[in-house]
Amino acid sequence: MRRLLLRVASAWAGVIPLAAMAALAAAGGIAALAALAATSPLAAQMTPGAPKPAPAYVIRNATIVPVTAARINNGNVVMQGGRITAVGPNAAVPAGATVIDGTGLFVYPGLINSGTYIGLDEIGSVPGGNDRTELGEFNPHDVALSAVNPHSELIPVARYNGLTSAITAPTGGLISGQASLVDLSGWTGDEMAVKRSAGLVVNYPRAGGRGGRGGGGGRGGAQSAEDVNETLRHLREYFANAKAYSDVKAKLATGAPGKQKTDLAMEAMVPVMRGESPVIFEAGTVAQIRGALAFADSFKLKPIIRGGHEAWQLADTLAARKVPVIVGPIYAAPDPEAPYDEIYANPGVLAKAGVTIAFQTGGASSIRDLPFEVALTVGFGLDPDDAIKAITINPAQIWGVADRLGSIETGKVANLFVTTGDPLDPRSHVRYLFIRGEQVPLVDRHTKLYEEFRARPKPPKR
Amino acid sequence: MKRFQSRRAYVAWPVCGLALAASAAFAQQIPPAPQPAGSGTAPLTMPIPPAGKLVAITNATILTASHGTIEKGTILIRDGKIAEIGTNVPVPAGAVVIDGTGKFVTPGIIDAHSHSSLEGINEGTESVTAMVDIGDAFREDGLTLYRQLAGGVTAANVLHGSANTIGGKNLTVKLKWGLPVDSMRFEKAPPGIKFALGENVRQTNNPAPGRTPRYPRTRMGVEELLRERFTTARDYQAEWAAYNKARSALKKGDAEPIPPRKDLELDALVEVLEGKRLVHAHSYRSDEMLMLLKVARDFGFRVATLQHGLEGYKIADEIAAAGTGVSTFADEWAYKLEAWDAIPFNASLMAERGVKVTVNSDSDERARRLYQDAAKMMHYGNTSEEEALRMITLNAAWQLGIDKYTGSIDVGKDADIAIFTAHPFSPAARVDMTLIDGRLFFDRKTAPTLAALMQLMRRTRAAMGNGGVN
Amino acid sequence: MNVLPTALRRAALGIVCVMPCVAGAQRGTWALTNARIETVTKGVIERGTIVIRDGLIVAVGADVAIPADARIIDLSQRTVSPGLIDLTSTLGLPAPAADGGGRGGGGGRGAAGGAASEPRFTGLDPERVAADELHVSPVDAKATRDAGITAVLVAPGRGALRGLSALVPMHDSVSGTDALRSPVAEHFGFQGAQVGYPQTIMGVIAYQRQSLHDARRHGQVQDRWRTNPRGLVRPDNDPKLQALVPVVRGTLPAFYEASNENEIRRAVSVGKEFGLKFTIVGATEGFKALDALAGHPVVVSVNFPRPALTTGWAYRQSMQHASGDSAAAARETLKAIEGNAAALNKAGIRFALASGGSRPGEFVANVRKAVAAGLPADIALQALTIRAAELTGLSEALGSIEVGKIANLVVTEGGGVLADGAKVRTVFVDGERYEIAPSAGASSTGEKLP
Repeated sequence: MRRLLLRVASAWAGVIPLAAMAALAAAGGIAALAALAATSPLAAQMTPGAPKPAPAYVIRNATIVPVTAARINNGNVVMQGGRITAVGPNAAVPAGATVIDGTGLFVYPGLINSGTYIGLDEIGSVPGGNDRTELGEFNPHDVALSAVNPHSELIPVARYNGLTSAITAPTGGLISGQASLVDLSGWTGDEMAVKRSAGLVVNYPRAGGRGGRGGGGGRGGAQSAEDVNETLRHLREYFANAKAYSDVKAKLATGAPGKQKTDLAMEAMVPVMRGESPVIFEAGTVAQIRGALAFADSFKLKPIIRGGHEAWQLADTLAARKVPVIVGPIYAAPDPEAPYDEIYANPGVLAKAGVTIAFQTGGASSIRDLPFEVALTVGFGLDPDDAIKAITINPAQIWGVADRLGSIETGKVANLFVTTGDPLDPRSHVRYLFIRGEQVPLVDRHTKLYEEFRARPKPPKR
Repeated sequence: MKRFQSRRAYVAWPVCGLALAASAAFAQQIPPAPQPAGSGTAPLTMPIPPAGKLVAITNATILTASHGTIEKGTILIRDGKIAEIGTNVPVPAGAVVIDGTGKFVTPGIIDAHSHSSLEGINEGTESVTAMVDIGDAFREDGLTLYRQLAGGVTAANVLHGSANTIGGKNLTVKLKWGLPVDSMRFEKAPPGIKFALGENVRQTNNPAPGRTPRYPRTRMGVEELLRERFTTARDYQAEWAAYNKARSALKKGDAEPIPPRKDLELDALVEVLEGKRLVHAHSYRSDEMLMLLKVARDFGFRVATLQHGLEGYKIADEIAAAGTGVSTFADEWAYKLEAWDAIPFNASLMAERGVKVTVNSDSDERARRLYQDAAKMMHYGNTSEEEALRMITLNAAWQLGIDKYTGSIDVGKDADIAIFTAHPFSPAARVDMTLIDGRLFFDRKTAPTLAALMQLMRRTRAAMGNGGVN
Repeated sequence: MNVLPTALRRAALGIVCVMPCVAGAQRGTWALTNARIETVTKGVIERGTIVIRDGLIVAVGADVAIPADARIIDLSQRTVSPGLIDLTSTLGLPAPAADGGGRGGGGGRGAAGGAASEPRFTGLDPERVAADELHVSPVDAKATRDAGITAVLVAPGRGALRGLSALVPMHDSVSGTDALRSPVAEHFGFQGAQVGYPQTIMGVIAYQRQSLHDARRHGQVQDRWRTNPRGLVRPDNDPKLQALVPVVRGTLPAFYEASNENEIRRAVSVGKEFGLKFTIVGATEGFKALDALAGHPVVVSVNFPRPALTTGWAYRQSMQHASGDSAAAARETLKAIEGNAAALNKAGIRFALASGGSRPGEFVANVRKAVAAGLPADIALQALTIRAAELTGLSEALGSIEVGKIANLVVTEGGGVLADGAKVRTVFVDGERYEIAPSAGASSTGEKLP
C-alpha cells in the first residue's frame, strides 16, 4: 500500500501543478492530499479493495503516430506507472505487462477538447443538473473543477472517440470563472484534474444587432455599440481594480508597510494580472478579437482567443503575436453575411499562417464529436497533420502541459488510444483507450443500452 | 488598416472592375441563364442555371445507393433525367462534360426533417392544427437553402414544428434556391402531416408564460386527444358520405341537400384515415411510439415515419412490423429528459432489424453536413457503406414517397446529384457541385467561398497599395 | 350606402365649419378660370374654366359661361387636377392597443384605464365597420389634404380579417357618417390574432379559408331558412360570418394586403380558390409576381421596402463576395423596387397607386420616383385618381374632372400635381375650398370676388 501510494503520488506530482497543490493544501489540508493519493478508479474496479502493482501495458506492432515525431511503423508503446516508458520498433516489453496486439492498428495521443462544460451539466432541460452559469457578471473565483461531477454519465460517452482530456469551463456573465483542464477519468474531481485553473474565461462583448443587453444569461448575443462600450467600461474597471490589488499585494510581499483586506475574487485575479494564468477571451468577430488583444495589451495579460470564426482576417497578427486560437464549435452556422464555408475554412487559414490552433466543441453531451468536427475542416483546407496536432500537442502547449500531454513520447503521461484508422474519419473505430496508463474500457451508457437492446428477443407475434 | 476593420465594412467597399477570376471553366461551358420572357420587367431574377439538355459526368466513382459503387463510371443526363450509367457510356457530341476524375458522385442528399426557410414554424396556439399548411410559410430565398446545397442537399421534407399533437401539413421541396416556391414544390410527392408526442406537445420545457396551460399535459392526454380527433374525423367522413349518397340519389324537383360544414382540419385527418396523407410523427420514447402505432392500427392507417424516434432501437421489431420508417439524429442525446436514452447506435440497430431508417438534420446547420452524419452510422453500429448512404438518400425518398423519382443514381430518375472531392464519408470530403434535375445549383468554383473573398481582399489591397489585411 | 356629399348635408344643417378650421374652408359657387386642367379622363385643357356649385362640378371646358353667383378664382399659371385618392389609410381609427390587452397600461386612444379586458378587436374582425369608429382630426386631415389627397380609404391596418372600409373625404373633422361610401371592401391581411389562433402566416391562411368556407355555407343555410325553414336547424346570426357572406359571393370586394412575392401569390391563390372579387393591396414586390397578378386589380403601394427586406436579397448578398460589388446589389434592388409600378404597367396590369402608410408628402414624392423609374406620368395620375375611384366603385362620382362629379380638386403651381417641384396651393373637397398656406413667401392666389 505504501509503495503504491508513493508511486501514485510521484506519478501525479507532475500532473497537478504546484499552485493547485498549494491551493489544495490550503483548502483541505491532509484530506485533499489523501484524496490526491487515492488509487485510480479503474484499477480499483478490476480488483476491488486489494492493492495491486501499477499496471504495465504494451501495444505491440502498431503504427504509432507520436505527433511530435515521424510516425513509426510496426512499433511498440510501453506504459508503466501511468507514464509512457518506451516508444519505438524495438521497445522492450517489461515482464508481466499486458500485451495488446496492435497489428493493423494505429496509436495516437489522447485527444484534448479545448472547450466544453463537461461535468457541469447533465440533461440539458433538467435544471437540477446544471451548474454552468453562476449569477452575476464577475465570478473570477468560481472554478469549474469545484462543480465537475466526476460521475456524470456524459464522461464515459465522451471517451468513446479517443478523447482523454478536456477543458471544462463555466459560462455566462462577463467573467464566467476559471476553466479547468481535466482528464476524462477519476474517482473525484481532484483526481481528474490536470490543471485546476487553466485560464480565466472572459466573454468579450459583441457589437451588432439592435442592442438590448442579453440579461444575466450567456453573452453570445450581439449588443448595440453603446452597450458594448458600457460593458467594456465595467470590464476595464474590474481589471483595473484587480491590477491595483495585485500591485499592492506584490508590494506588501516585499515587506513594505501597509495592509490589505483579502478579497477572494481579487485573489483569483492575481495570477491573471501577473500574466501567469491566461485569459480565455470568448471572441468571434474581428472587432471582438481586436478588442480582446488591445484589452490584453493594456493589462499585460496572456490572451487566448476562443471561438474566433473571423480570426482568419487577423491570421498574420495572431501568428506574429503568438496568440493561440481555440476554434470551434465547427458544428455551427456562419453569420448571415459570411461566406458559406467560413467556419470550415477558417482553421486551415489560421494554421497556414502559423497560428497555434486548438479545437473546442463546446457543450457536454456531444464533446465526443471533436475529431469529426475537425474532420469537416480538413476538406476545406486544414492539413491533416495540423488537424491532429490541433487536438493533441497544440492544446497541450496552450494549456501549459506539453511536458506531460499531447504526444506519444517517453516520459509523458500515458493518455493515448488505439484505433483502426484515421481518428478524424468516422469510419474508424477506437479499440483501446488509456488514461494515465490505465486501460479504460470503452463502455458507456450508450454501449450498454445498445448491447441490452440488441439482445432483445423478437417480441411475441400479436 | 482601419479600412479593413471588419469584413462588413470591407465588402461595402466598392471594388468595381475587380471581378473575380474564379469564373469557372464549367460555368463558361454552360450558357448564361436565360432571362425570363419580358426580362425588362422582371429584374432581380436569380441567376439560376438552365437545364442542360445533355450533361455527362465522366470517369467518376459513382455511389449509386441502390446498386453498389461504379468505379470510373459515366452518368449521362438527358433533359434533367438520368439516361445512362456505366463504365462504357459514350458521351454524345454536344453534351456538357463534367470531368469526374478523382471525384465521388452520390445521389443528392434528402433531408427527411427540415424547418428551413420558414416564416413561422409552429402554429402553437392549439394542440391540433391539421388545417394549417407549412407550404404557406415557406420562402424560396432562405440563405440556408444555398448553404445546404453546398452540403449536397437536393430535397427536404419541410415540416411544421413539434408544438402540437397534430401540427400542420408538410411540404416536400427540391432545393431549387431562387426559383419561386411553386417551382420548388415536389409536385409528385404525396402530401404529409406532422404529428408530435411527448415533452414538446405537453409544453414541459417551454410553457407559454402567463397563459393557462394548454391541454394535453400528459402522454395520456395526447393519446386521448388523438383518439378523440380521429373519432370525430370518422364521423365527419360518414357525414359527407351520407351527403354525397343523398345527393346522387336526388330526384328532379327535390330540394338540394345542404352540405355538411366543410372542416379543413378534419379534411386533413380524413386524408390520413384514407391513407392519402403521410403521417410524420415527432416522437422520442418507445412507449409513446408504440402508443401511436396502436392508435394508427386501431384507426386503420399507417404511420409513415417516426421523426427522431430516439428510442426506436428499443422497439425496432414493432416499428418494422408496422411498415413505419424512422428518421433520427445521428448522435444527439441528453438535451432533454426524453433524449436521455438516445444512443448513436439507434439507426444501425433499427436498420439491422429491418426498419427503413434515415438520418436527418432538423437544423439549418446540421443539414450542411448530413454526409458526415451518415458516415457516423458506419462508426456507431457498423452499418454498411451503402446502407449508411441510403440513410440520407434512398431511404429518405422512400419515407417521403418519392423514391420512384429520386434518391439513387438509377436510369430514369431525376438527375439530383452531389459531386464530392473525396469519398463523402472521409475527412477530405467537400461538395464541389450539386445538381437538381440536371441543373447546376451549386458550383464550388463560382461560389462565394472564403478563399474567393480572401483573394478579392488581396487584389483590392494590392490595387490600393495597402500593406495588409491586418 | 352613403354617397351624399358632405357639403350638401352640411349645407342643409347650416354648418359651415364645425371644428376650428385650420385652413378655413370656404363653401360656395366657384369659377376657376384660366387654369390648365388635367381632366384625366378627357385629356388636358390648356386654358379653361371649371364651375363648381353645391359641391359638384357643373361645368368644365375651355369656353364656359361663368354664372353670376360664382366667385371667380383666376388660376393663371396653375394646374387643376382631380383630388388624389389614397386607398391605404388607417386615418381616424383608434390606435391599436399596444399589447394583447392583457396588461392594461396606457395603451391606445380610447382604451380607458379599465382593468385587463379582452381587446375589442383582435384582428379577426370581418364585421368591424371602420365608419362606425373613425374620426379624422383636423390636423391629420390637413396634413393629408395639403399633399393634394382629397379622399382616403380607411380600414384597420392589421389582422387576418380586418373589417369593412370606408372612403372618406378629407374635410376637417370627418367622421364615419361623412363617408363617401361604406363599406367599400372587406380587408384581408396576413397578421395573426392578438391572442390565440392563428398566430402564424400559415394559421392565418387556414383561418381565412375556413372562414370563407363557413360563410359560403352560412349563406346557403340562411337562404334556405328564408325560403323554406321547415326541417332546417335554425342558423345562428354570427356577425362575423354574416359579414363574409357578400365577400364569398363576390358581391363585396376583398382588399387583400400582400406585399412581398410570396404574400402576393398566397393572396391570389386564396382569392381564386373562393372566387372572390379581390384586389391585391401593397404588392411592393409585384414585379416578382407579374404572372400571379395578371388579370387582377392591384393597389400598388409606393412605400418602398428597404432592399434588404426584399425576397431574394440573401441570394444577392451572398453572391456579392464573388462579384466584389455589394453596392451594385443594393442599387439594382432599389431600382427594381422603384420600378415596380412601371413593371406592372408594362405587363398590362391595371392598378391604383397608394401611400402604403407613408406620410402624405412622402407619398407624392415616391410616386415621382416611380415615374422616374419608368411609369408614364399620365398613368401615374390615373392610378391616383380615376383608377382608385374605380376600385371603390365610385368612378361615377370621383377621380376625374367631369361634369357631375364631386368637386374634389387639387390646384398646383409649377406644373401638375406630379410634376417635380409642383406646389399644392388650393384643394377643393366637395367643392369646399382649402387654401394651403404657402410655406415661405409665395404669393397667394389671385382671387377676385364678384
